[in-house]
Amino acid sequence: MTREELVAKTNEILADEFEVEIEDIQPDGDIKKTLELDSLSIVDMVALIEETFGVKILGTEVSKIKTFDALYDFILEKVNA
Amino acid sequence: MYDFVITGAGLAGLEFGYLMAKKGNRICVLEKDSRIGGCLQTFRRNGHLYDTGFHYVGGLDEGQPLNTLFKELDLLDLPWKRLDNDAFDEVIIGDEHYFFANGFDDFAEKIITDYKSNGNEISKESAEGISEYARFLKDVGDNIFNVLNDAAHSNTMDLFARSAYQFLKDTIKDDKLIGIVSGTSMKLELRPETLPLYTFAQINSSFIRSAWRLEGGGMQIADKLAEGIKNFGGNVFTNAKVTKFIEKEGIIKAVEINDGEQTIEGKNFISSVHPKLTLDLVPKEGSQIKNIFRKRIANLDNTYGMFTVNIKLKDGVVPYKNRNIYIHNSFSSIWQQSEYQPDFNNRSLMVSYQAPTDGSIFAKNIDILMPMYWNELTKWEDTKVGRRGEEYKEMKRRLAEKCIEKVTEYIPELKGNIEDFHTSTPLTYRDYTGTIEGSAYGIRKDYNKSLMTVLAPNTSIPNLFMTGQNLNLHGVLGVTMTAFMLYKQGNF
Repeated sequence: MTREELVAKTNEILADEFEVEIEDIQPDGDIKKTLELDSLSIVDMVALIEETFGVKILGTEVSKIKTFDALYDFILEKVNA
Repeated sequence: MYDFVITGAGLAGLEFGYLMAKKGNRICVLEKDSRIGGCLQTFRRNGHLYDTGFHYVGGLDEGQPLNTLFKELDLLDLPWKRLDNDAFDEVIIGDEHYFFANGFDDFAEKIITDYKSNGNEISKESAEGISEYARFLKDVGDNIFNVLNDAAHSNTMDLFARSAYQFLKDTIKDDKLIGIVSGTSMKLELRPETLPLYTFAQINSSFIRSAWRLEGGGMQIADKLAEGIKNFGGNVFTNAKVTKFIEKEGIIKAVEINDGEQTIEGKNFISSVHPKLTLDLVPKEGSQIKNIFRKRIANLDNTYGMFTVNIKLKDGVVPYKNRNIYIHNSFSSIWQQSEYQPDFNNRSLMVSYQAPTDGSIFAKNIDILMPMYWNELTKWEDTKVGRRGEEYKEMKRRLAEKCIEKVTEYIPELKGNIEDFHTSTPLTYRDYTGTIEGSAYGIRKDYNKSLMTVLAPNTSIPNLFMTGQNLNLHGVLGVTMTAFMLYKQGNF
């Protein structure tokens, strides 16, 4: 999977599931603010990404990811691992 | 206006209600059924009392976890009866018998002695493994209160993310011994693919400390808590089914009862019913609760249910045993009980004696319990209590007879001495307690998905909280812990 494909897929599922406009998701945007995440819905985001990309994410890893760009890189690394 | 409106008068709802009422809050507990108690309910037939979901508790001795919690709940003065110190549980596997002793060192020593006396050889490595296992359980139990102030306590979450079965493999190494130490764990769902080490260790740890029955049945716990709530000025209403949480301006303002018959306003709302059912009561339109959270909760699996045979014995013939008996077909079948076993012989059974209240050496009632699966019952899933038809009654009768026949091999006095028996299935539990698919232990925790399956008490609505067996831990100790977690973490 190319980075472009991964970005498109990630944005599509996040916009769809968290009920935000896809244009609101900007690479340097803050994930928590954009998706209006609280401590509970972060778990939902992790579950969604794990299910979509077949990767496993640890709680300690997710707390370090702040922007969408960082999220794409993180998923890409996992997918290609 | 109430300070706390609590949905569900099962153990967690009543415990939380009692704790908050004792602190001076105005409490209202709402129960859909005509009786409070949930899984603590007892029922009477022809003057005899039968327990439903309650059989024994662990860790009630001075200084032990449940003692500390029950002290705050003023439940220690109920007629608790301690099971035999040197054999509170008996595990029968094929023709081998093992006895669980209280105290971690004694427990390990007894397992090793029994293993040898059943004709097995034990390697030095496995003997050390058993001792290490016992020490580990002690340590986990010693730290049970860590989650009270921090639901995401890191050591606890690490244990939720570890496999119980793999831990036993790594520590004990010998498959037969793994079966033995797991032999009383019908009080949780032994599923190698999912069971977290935390669940396994915490529950086993509490019973190895000390094990207790309650003379006169589990309902006394519910009655005492409800009476306490009323004495502190609160209310406990039955036949009051919460049919909607009314959310306005981002918080819950009130609950609707019996489809609009009444609304009850409050400052905080606690749900002790299954999280999926809780979320279904919050209308989606304009809610703080996101659909993705609803979907995640709705998709969580639930543990198996129980088939129970409540038996009334003839007077003065079957000796009372001050221990429980677990019967398994083979060492390997013990960890296969999370799936339906087509061969009845491969199904595990638990036998629980009701403690006599008159000091008699003979038992008046025993219960036989056996895991039961929803796919055995889907044919009747749209039916209600008492109206499920002849085929259902016949299925229950056949299953009960098989259970009784198997148990009679080990308790021969049962033959000809059963006066009457009653049966219940997960459908019964579903209809009386509202648990999904009549699940005995609620949401299935999964060590592969610990973040997803171990739920926090808070929700995205700041004044709506959850408690009960679906959160941290099930069982009397587990549920009580969830009530205390909310009590301590809610900052009320």
